[in-house]
Amino acid sequence: MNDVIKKIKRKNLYIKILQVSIGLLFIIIWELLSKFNIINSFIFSSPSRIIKTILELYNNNNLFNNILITLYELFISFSLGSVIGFLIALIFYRIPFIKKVFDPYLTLLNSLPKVALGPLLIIWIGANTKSIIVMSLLINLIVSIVSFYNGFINTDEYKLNLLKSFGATNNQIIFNLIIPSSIETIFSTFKLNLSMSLIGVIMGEFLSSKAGIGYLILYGTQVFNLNLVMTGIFLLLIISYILYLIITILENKVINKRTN
Amino acid sequence: MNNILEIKDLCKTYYTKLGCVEALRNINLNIHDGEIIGIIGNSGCGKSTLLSILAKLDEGTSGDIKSEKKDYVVGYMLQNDALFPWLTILDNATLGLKIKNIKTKENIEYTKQLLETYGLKDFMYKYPNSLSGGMKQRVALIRTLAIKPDILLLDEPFSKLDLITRLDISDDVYKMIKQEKKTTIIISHDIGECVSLCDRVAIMTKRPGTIKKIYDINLLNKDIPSKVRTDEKFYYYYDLLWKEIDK
Repeated sequence: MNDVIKKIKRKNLYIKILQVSIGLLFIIIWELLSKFNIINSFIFSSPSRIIKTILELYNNNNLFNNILITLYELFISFSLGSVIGFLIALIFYRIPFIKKVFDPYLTLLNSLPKVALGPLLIIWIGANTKSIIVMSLLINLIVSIVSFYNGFINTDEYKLNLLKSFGATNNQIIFNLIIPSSIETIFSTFKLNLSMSLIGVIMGEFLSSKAGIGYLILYGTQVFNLNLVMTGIFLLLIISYILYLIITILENKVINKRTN
Repeated sequence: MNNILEIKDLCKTYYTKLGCVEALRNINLNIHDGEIIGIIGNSGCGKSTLLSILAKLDEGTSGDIKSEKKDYVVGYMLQNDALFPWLTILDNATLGLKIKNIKTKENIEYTKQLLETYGLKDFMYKYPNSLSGGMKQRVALIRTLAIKPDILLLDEPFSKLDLITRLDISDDVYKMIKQEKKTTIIISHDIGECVSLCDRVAIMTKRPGTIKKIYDINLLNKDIPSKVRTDEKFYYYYDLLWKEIDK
C-alpha cells in the first residue's frame, strides 16, 4: 500500500518538475534567442526586458495602479455576471415557461460578437469604467446563465422524485437539492466566467480607457513599445492564473468539507 | 382483512405531440393492512407509473384511490439509494423529517434508533461515500421509515445491486419491514424476489397495464427470504408466475 502511495507521489512530483521545466526552458530559450540576436528583441522582447519594464512601471507608480484598475473592473463584472447569471438561471429552472420564451433571444445574444457593441456602449454610457464593466458583463452573462442552467437541469431525477415524494415545495427542492448538487457546476461556471470577464475587461479597456492593463497593451502598441505590450500580457497571465487558483482552492475546500 | 388502500378503476393516459399513450387501464387492487404485496410485469407495463401515482408524484386520468386516512403518508424508496453525498448519514436519514417540517427531537431519536438497530450506529456522522452499496440501501429504507409512513412503496429497490448483495439486502429489508409492521408495495420484474418477499403478488398485463391476476404466496419459514429460495414451493410459485406473465 505504502509503495503504491509512494509511486503515485513520485509520479505527481515528476509531473510538477516537468511542468516547471517546460516553462523555464521556454523562458531561457526566449532570453538566449533574444540576447544573441537570433530573434529581433525589439519586436519579440525578452524575459529580462519584461522584468525591466515591470520595475520601471513600479518605479513610476504605474504598476499597481493599472493592475488594481483592471482587477476592480474584473471583480465588479465577474460578481455581477455570476450573481445575475445565477438568479436568471434559477428563474429559468423554476419557471420553464419563461425559459422557453427567452430561448431564441439567448441563442441570438450568445452568437452575437459582443465586441461589435463596443462603439455603441461608448456612445450610450460614455468612455469610462462603466462601459468597460458593461462590455465585460455582456460577454460573461449569457455564458453564465447557460452554464448554471445546464447544471440545474441535470439534477439527479431520483433525488428530485425523492424530495417530491416527501411533499417538498419548490423552494425546498431548490435549497436542499438543486443548489447543493450543482456546486461543481457553480465553481466551473465561476472559472468560465472569470476568463470571460477578463476578455470583456481587456476588450473594454482597448476601446475606452485611460488606465488598466488593457490600456498599457494598447498604449504600448501605439508607441511601438513592444516590451510594454509583452509586460501587459505577462501581467494578465499572472492575474488570471492566480484568480483561477483561488477559485480552485475554494472549490476544493467546499467540496472536501461537504464530503469530509 | 382491513384494506389500507383501495384502488378502483384507475386509468392513466399520457398526452404527447405524437398522440396519446394509455399507460394504465382500469386498475383494481385492494392493499391489505400489514401485507407485503408485489406488483410484477414486463418492462414498460406501467408498474412505475402506478407507483408514482400511489406516491402522489403523478395523478391518474380517472379512477379512485381510497384510504381510511384522508392524507395517508407514503414512504417511497427508489431504484437508486438517492443519498445526498454532501449530507451525513444521519442528515440523509432525517431528510424526509426536515422536508415535512417534523424534525422534532423525538423523531430524530427514533431515526437514530433505527440506524442503531440496523447496524449503522458507527456511520451516523459519516458520509455516504464511506458505505457499501447494501448499507446505502439500508439508509435509504431508514430514511423512508423515519417519516413513519402508512404505506411503503419500493420501486425495484434492489435492481442496481449485484446478486449476492441483493439477496443479503432483501433479507435485511424484509426483516426491517416486518419488524416495523409496515404495509408495503414492491414493484419488481424479478419473480424470485417477489415470491420470496411478498404475501401476495399481482401480475400486470403489457401496456396498457391492468391487473391480470393476484396470487397468494404461502411459503413456510419465510423469515429469511434468501433461504426460501431452496424451498420446493418457491419453485412452484415461480413457475406459476412465470407462466402467467408469459401468457
